[in-house]
Amino acid sequence: MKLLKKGAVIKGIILLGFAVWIGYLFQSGNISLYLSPKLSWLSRLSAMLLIVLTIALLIPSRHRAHHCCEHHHCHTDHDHSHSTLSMITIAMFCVPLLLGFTVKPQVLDSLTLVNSINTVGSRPYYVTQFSQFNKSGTKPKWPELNLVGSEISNFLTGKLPMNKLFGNSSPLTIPEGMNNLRSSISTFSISSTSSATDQNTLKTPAIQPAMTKIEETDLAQLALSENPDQIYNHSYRLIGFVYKDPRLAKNQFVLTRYVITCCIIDAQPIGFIAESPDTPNLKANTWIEVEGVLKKRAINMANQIKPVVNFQSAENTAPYFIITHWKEIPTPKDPYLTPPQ
Amino acid sequence: MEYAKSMSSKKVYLMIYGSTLFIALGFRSLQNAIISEQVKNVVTLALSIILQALPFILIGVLASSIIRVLIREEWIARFSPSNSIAGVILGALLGLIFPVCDCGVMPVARSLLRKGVSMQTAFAYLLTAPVINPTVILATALAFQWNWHLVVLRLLGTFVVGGTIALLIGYFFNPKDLGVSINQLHHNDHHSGRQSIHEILLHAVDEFFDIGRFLIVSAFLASAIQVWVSKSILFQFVNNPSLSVAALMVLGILMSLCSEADAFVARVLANQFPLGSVLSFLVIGQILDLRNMILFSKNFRQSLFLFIAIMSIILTFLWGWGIDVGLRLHL
Repeated sequence: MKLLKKGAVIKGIILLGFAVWIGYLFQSGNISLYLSPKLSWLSRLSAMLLIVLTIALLIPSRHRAHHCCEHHHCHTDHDHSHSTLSMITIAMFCVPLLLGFTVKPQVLDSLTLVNSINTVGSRPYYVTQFSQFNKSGTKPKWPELNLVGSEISNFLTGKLPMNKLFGNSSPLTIPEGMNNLRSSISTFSISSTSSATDQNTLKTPAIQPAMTKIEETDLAQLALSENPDQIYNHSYRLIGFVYKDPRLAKNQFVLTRYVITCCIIDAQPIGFIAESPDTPNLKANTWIEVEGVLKKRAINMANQIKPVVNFQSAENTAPYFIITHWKEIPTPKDPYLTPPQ
Repeated sequence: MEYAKSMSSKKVYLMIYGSTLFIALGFRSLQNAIISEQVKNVVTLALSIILQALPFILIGVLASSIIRVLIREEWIARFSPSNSIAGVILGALLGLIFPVCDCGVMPVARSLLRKGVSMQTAFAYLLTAPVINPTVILATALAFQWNWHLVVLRLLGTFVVGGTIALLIGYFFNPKDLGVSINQLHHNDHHSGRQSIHEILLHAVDEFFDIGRFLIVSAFLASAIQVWVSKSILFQFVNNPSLSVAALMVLGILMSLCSEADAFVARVLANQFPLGSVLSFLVIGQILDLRNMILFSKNFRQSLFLFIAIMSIILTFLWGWGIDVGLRLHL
C-alpha cells in the first residue's frame, strides 16, 4: 500500500473536521443559532461534499506522479494535493474548527444593537414601517431631516438640551391619561390616538395573573405584514426579548426579535414599542411571552424624525403594544425568525 | 512574478495579524463582561459566515473543476464573440446560467480564463455574476416588496460598473497580469484531457484550501467590524448626496454580505438613506468587499487589483451620486 503524503492527511483531517462540526451542530440543534432553517439543507450538502472530498484525498492516487511534475517549472501551489500546506494556512483552518467545537454560540441580543445601523440612526427599527414601500413608483419626495444621530447621542449624554434639539415650536402632544408619565418621556415618546379606550388602558393598566390561551403570533409576520393597517386593534400573544432604548420612557421597552435571511450576520431586529407598568422590573435581554393589544400611535416629534428615504411614504405613526399579561420564558431553541414570503 | 507573489503574501499576513490583533484585544479584556460577550458575538458571527459560505465555495470549486474537464477549449474558441462589447454582455449573462454567489465565483472565473475565455468575458462574469443571477434578483425583489424599479436599478448599476471595468481590463491588461497562480494553472491545463473523477476532486480540494483561507480571514474581520465599529458616524452624512453615497459604500465594503442577503439589510438602510446611496451599497458590496479584496489581491497582479478596486469605487460612486442628485434636481 502506498503511503499517503503528509499534506493530504492534514487536508483530509481538516475537511473531515468541518464535516463533523456540521454534523455536531445538527445533532445539538445549534445550527439554528447560526443559519436560517431555509439554508440548513445546504449545510447538509456541504457536509456530504466535504466527506466525498476527504475520501478522494485519502485514496492513494495512481495519477499521483502527474506528468506536469516532470516539468521543471511546475512549482505551483496547485499540485494535486501533494503540496504541503503552510503552517499559517493550517492554523487559519483550525481556528474556526476549534472555536466551533469549544465556544457556545451566542444568541444575539441587545448588545448587538449597540453599534447597529438599526438603532444609531434618527429612525430606529421599532418606529420603522417596512410595508410602506411605494410600489407604484410615483415621484418620490425628498424630505428634510432636522435631526441626526449625533444630536441624539449628544442629547442622551446630556450635551444637548431638549429645547435645542426640538426647538420651541414642537409641542409634546401627550394625552391627559399620560400626564403622570410626562416627566419621564423622552425623544421617541408615543402619544395616544384619540381612542378613549386606549386612554383607559393607560390609566389602569391591568396586568392579569394568568395568561389566556391566544395562539402565539410570529412577530415577523406581524411586523412585516403586507397589510399593516389590518394588524391593529387585535389581541396577540408574542414572544421576544427586552430591548431597553434610553430614548424611551420608563414604562416602555421594545419587544424585539431578529429576522435572518441567510445567516446571523444579516440579522435585522424587528419589534414594537411595548408598554407595561412592570417594565422597570424587566431586565434587558430577558425573553418574555406577552399578551396584549397592538395599537397605532402617533409619534411625538414626528416632524423631526421624518424618514429621508425617497421611495417610501413618510409615516408618522408606529405600532405600539399594550401588554395585558406577561411572563418570563427561557431563551427559545429557535430564537431567530425568517422573513415572511 | 516572485515579487508579486511576495507582495500578496505580505498582504495576507497583514490581514491575519490584523484579525489576530482584534481577537487578542478582545481576549485581553475578557474580565470585562460586556467585552467578553462581544468577543463571543464576533466568534458566533464569524462561524455563521463560514458555515453559510461553505456550501457555495464547495459548489464553486467543484463547478470550476468540472469546467476544467468538460468544457473544451475549441468550443470556447468557436463560440466566444470577437467583439469585446458582445464579450462583456455574454460574461454578464453567464451568471444566469452558472449562478454562483460571490463566495464561489472566483474559482469558476479562473477556470473560464484557463480555458481561454477572453478577459472581457471572464471579468464581466466575475464582477457581475454575484448579482445578475436568478436567486439574487428574486431576493432583492422580495426584500423591497417587488419594487422592480429598484431591482432594475441594482442590476443595471452592477452591469454598468462591472461591464465597464471588464471592458477596460480587456484593453489595458493582458493575461500575463493575472498573477502567478492562474498563469501556471493555465499551463498545467494543457494536459487536462484525460482526467479521472478522482483528479477532479483533488483539484477541487486544492481550490478549496486556496479560496477558503481568505474566506476565514474576511469572516472574522467582517464580524469584528459589525460588533465593534459604531455605525453612528454614517448618519452624519445622510443629508449630503456625495457623503451619504460614500458612507454606504464604505459600509457595503466592510460588511461583506452575501449577495442573497444584502438586500434585506439595504431595506433597513432605505429607511434612513436616499435611494442612490442604498443602490451604491448594493452594487459595491458584491464587486469589492473585504473577501473579494483579499481574493483579488492574491489572484491578480497588484496593478490589476488596484485598477479593479479604484474603478469600481469611482463608477459605483458616480452611479449612486447621479441617482441622488438627479432625484434632488427633479423634485
